[in-house]
Amino acid sequence: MGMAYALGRPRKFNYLKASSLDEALRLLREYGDAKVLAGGMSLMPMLKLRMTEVKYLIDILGIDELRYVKSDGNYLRIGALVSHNDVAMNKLINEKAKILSEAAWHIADVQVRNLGTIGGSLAHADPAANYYPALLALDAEVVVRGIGTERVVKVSDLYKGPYVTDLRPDELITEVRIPLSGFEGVYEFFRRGGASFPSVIVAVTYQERDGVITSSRIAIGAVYPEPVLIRDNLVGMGVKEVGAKAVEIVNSVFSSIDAKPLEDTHAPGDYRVRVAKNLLVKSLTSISTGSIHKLKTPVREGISEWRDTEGKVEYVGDLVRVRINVNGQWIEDLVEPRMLLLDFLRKHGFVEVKRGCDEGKCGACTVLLDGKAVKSCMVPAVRASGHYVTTIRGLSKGIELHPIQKAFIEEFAMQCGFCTHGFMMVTYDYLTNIDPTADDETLKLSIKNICRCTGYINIIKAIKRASKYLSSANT
Amino acid sequence: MSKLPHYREGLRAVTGSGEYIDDIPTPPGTLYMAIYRSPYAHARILKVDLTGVFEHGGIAYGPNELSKVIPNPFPLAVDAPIKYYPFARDKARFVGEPIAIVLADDPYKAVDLLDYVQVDLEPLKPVLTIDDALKGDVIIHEELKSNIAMHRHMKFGPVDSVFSESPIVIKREFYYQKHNAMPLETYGVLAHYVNGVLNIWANAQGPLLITYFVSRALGIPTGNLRLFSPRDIGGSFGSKYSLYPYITLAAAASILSGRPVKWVESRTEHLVGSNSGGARKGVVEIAATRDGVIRGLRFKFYEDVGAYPRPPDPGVLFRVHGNMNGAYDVRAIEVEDYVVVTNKLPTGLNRAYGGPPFYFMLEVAVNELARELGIDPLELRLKNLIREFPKKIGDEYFYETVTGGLYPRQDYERVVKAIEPEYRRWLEERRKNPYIGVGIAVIVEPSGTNLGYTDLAIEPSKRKYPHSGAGSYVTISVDMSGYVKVFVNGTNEGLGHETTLAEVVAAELGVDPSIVIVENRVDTTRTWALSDGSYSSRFAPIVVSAAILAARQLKEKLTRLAMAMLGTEKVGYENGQFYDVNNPSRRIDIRRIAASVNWDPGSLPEGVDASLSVTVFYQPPTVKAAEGDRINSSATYAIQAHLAVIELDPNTYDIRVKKYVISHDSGRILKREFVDGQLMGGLMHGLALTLYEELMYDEQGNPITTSLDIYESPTLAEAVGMEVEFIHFETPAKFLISGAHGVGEGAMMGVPAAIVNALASIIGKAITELPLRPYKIMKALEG
Repeated sequence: MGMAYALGRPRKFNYLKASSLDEALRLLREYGDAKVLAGGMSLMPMLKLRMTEVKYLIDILGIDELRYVKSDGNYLRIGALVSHNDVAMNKLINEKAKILSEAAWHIADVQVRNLGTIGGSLAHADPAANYYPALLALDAEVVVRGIGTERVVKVSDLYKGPYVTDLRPDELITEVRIPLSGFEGVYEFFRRGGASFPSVIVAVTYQERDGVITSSRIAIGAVYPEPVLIRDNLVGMGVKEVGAKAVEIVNSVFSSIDAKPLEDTHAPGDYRVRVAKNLLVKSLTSISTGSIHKLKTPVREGISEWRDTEGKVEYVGDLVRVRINVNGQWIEDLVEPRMLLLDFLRKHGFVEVKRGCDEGKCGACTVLLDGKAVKSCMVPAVRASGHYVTTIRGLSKGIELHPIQKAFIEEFAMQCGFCTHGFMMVTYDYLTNIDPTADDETLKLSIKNICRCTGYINIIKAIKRASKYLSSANT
Repeated sequence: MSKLPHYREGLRAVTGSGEYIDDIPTPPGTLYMAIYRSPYAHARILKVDLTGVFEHGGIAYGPNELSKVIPNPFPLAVDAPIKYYPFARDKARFVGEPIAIVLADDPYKAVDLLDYVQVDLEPLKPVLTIDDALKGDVIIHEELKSNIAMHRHMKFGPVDSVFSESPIVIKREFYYQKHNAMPLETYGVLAHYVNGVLNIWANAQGPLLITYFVSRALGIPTGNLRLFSPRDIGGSFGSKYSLYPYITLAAAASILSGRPVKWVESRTEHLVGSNSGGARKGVVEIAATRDGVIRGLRFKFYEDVGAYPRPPDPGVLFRVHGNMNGAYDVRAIEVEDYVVVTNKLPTGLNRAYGGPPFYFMLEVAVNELARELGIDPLELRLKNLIREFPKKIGDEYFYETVTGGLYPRQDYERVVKAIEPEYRRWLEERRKNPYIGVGIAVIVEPSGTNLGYTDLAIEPSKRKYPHSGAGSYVTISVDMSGYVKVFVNGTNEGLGHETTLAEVVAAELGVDPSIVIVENRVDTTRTWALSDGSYSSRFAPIVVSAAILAARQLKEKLTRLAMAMLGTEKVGYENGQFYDVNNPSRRIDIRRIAASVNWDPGSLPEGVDASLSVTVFYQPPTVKAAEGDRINSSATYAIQAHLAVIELDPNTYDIRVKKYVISHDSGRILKREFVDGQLMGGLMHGLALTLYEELMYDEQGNPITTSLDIYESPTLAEAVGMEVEFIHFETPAKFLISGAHGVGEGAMMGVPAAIVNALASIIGKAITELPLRPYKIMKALEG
């Protein structure tokens, strides 16, 4: 096989769908050669880049029973299919586990956060994944189900190595639970430029009584092949003392780590370690001075849903029947299960949706799926069957422009125009569902589409102008 | 909400109604092409077996079949025995070089079929660095007998005496990385060979030499080759000039298969196999007096053009030939250029072609001179600025550089001093916060390329013909209803050309822009010139000049027709209407003239031309062929000053731009929003290359940068919170009809030096290897 560079489209796979946990577990056992598709935000790029091949994809996103956030007894319980965006914004999670919400805010962009799930991220076990350090610091556990089995695994025992977990092939993570023990914490994060993943994550939690630390957890992620957890090394110190001794503490923490740091083009190993040390010093100092920087981000009650109305997947030979409502009109077609929603839309004339990359990063293909921004290159068309897709032509009324369109042209927020559609669609979701005020902090955590012409300055102005238009229309 | 601004391309963008290459309807029976590319940087091709592709329902062609329809190598700009074909014939010379192509009726299937291409390769040791190329232990092109595709050594003015007599000589070494300005839309081609005529739709940058190259390689005369571009192109930045090898491949596929063939490149292919700017090693020496007067400059450049010296390279070295003294009055310049080949992606046009590496090295070196002499870097620059423009050509005064450039008169000092208040303010801030860095750069931005500069790659005695291509055609006509139609054989990559042309022509004719229809795309069935296209910021100085000239000539024709129709020798003109000066109530508007001429040309008096169409070719008056090694390499030049204010994060060693100021004089501003847009975009491209983007290779020559993640391309998030300020001066360039210099590239030329100089103000030394990755800064801080 030759080196493939003509990428961006997956190899063939079969697509199956589970609408209940039991069905998912049954399918997993029945089809040995299967992979679970939760949000798909890691699996879809790997398939598109042909780094991995699967015979069967079992789509579990429609399992509603795995979508909840509740606080009961001694735990904050988060269903495995709760999206990153909900982890970021849900009020209860923000109240009970702020650093977990912060970790979620730092995940990729709003499109990825809309589809990606907390259970999926943990099961994928990327060494640079955002959740692990936060959950380690929060002493979290996961509930794992198989057919007729249920077990609880500490997050610290779940991760077995890069992309390897304690899960058996026929098991699923169903819940993440966090003890309600009142951990205070800091989450520090470094990502380089337009890189997709962080190079360093530091999370620190502690409990204190009368100014003396009674329990502490320091977690370091993205630096070593495994997230590192150091328990209780601050116990007995005064909170104030931690800042004064920060350098000493940090040196002792890192000298206790016996692992070779990760290396990639973004960050060589020695640099990663150095930054991790600096960020840990910063964290400890902020704890001792009571100046912990917390993200000021909006919260909301409840969580979003994924309405699955279609039931079973209908195969006709090797093809599947797909029915998608685009801008108010149902479009039906027989397609290969691997056909991406992007290609489905373009095939049916919605060529305003653009392909800009192979890895699901640039955002040019962004559309609204049930009102929320997704990258259509990260969604098999069959997954969107029965759902509602909106492109810009669905937002404007006839020849009357939508306020976002007006704002973009008034600010000259485009040059070649290739990224414009994706930017407008993600702006719609951002201003509608994330932050209507378009605050700088949420903006830079949410919209990470790529434009090569404008230098972004006018796009930022357009987003702020659209925010004003939409808020004045709503008052 | 207000009335929408006049912005035609913008309206298409917000309504999703643009027409890009992948949106063009395909003819029935179109096949999709996928390319099998070399997995080795350097390897002999032993055997190509394509039977598996046919067994799985596809079509495939390897080097044997392709050689039959691509008999000739592309012409080269260097005098070297190198053969460059769009596919590897006997040897693969970079990872990603096409070896075979497969065709299928579906793009998914075409990619699947690549699995069945079997190629036996014998890997050879690759040459990957400039130093290894110079060493020459392994030779990439055997006929060349070395890896040096060009060596030129030129001296202008009394260099030797200036350097031996100057009390201060500083010397700095630099490395500028390989990178690609990378448009968001990748390459795309639709080729259809039918009845001996090759029809090509491609998102190319213009007809320019692309048609010539494809015609030569295929042996198809230009008369039988028709190149079209779609109405919209998703960015190019020079990159899509290098589409011609792929146009040739798709054309070959259509000729061989007898079917229309479509190919749209993947992003990974774009990073691995399309185009890039070259890596460059440079040594800059400055001879100066103790009080900081620059007397002489010496440059030694080693340009790595990848596996083949692909034209227009090594033009990257000569694009700045006329402006190698930058903004300074320096009369002694020596330059020694080496062009080396390595087993990497071949290079080509890349936004600001030649400017970023050149000004990065010059302007960091100038800053270093200031630091060494203990002179404020702004003061030192002001001291050396050009102030006299003694050479008169026509109505304009010029400063003639020692290398042959002609800088039109501008007030350089005023433009540079405009950044001073902000510069001083931030130097104050720096005293309070040591992590704030302040850096400046001053450049002269060339625009409107003289294609003749590529001749400098060849010794004067060996050049066969003179070259000075720079001009453009513009056709303006009026239809029967009075609509004014403008046609330019150029391309729309997002520069707002349609909008600008409509406004310029409407203003010239005194009509509303809404009746001016602009078509700006490649169509070689219509009039075109070798120099037509979108590159080197030539639109404002050249294309707009041609359009104004054409509008004036059209107006003259209309005037003669109005005279005939009104039966008078004296007509006036206002708001689209001609009137009899002796009796102003007798009027006729353009629409009426157009209707009369169309319906009743027979009634015109004898000798009155009934044509309502004008085609003009405009060649800028300053562009001439080289004389020896002196050439005015660009139609014009404009001054620009940059101020970068950065903040260094002491925990992560990462840089954030707090404020960026550009002061410039690009002549007449045709549309402020578009000028600002070019500055902003160029600024971000500059930051991308200075801080993030590099096409990297491992020790085997495998490309490492295969994704946007690895490329670290800045997203919107990286721009949030960055403050940008532009200070515009508007001295009309009298020698150009448009009065406007180009403005698309200067920002990118100045950014690398301004940022490096800003960082140097924090860490006490200049990091002279790009990009400025945080770990390099960490190491520099640790000493």
